[in-house]
Amino acid sequence: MYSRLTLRWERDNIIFDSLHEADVWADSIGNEIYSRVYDGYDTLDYKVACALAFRLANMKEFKVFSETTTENRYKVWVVPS
Amino acid sequence: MKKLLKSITFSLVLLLTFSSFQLESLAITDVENPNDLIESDSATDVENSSDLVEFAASARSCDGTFYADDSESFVVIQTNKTSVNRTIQFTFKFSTIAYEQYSPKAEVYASALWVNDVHANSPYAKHTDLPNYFYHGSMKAYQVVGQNRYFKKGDVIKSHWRGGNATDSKIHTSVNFECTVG
Repeated sequence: MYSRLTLRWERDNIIFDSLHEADVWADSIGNEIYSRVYDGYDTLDYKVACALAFRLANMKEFKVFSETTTENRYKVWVVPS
Repeated sequence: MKKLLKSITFSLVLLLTFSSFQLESLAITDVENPNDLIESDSATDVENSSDLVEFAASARSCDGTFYADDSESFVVIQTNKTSVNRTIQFTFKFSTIAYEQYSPKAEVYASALWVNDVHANSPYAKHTDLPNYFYHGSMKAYQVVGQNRYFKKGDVIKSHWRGGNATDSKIHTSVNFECTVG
């Protein structure tokens, strides 16, 4: 029903030193996904992906999905629940 | 001749007195009957007082602190003006005096956002954290019915923010603000 082609993605290559920094970053990404500016985030930083997945799973409005790509990138995306 | 001069002087004095009385009474009428002003054309605009109120309220710039009526919380807004598309940064804080009320955990979210009176998706999901946490974020774009839009100078933002005690829904505070992007 929700093809991955129709999802709007934000892509970043930034890698943070600490989980705290990654979590602060993920918080702002989560807000943008919550306001539907885009549906998914594609990152090189596993810490950001984990923190983002945790934050999005807190939002009752979404089902959260994640995936590791063959290029070692981490994708987290949502569809309405 | 003397009689004639006297009568001319008298009529002049009478004329002056009368005209000054008329002027005076006109001036008094202007002041004493403000309803006359309201019935004038310019008053038609005043009838839409909500427009005036909105204008006055939205004259406040999106750079500053907006307090809750109960003073238990406030929202700080800052606008990044380095590009044509503005970025709005926001922070929700509980006042120090209210920390105890919102302990041990507080919930904060933006319940609504309007840009130029068009409803947009909320920019801040429900966050649960300590009452002294800086609930913060930024908006570089906002979403209106499936479409991303960007903040521009002159946009009028209205937003409702709500903070509450995560364990007691009866304890809550809210900040409603309206501002114009600079």
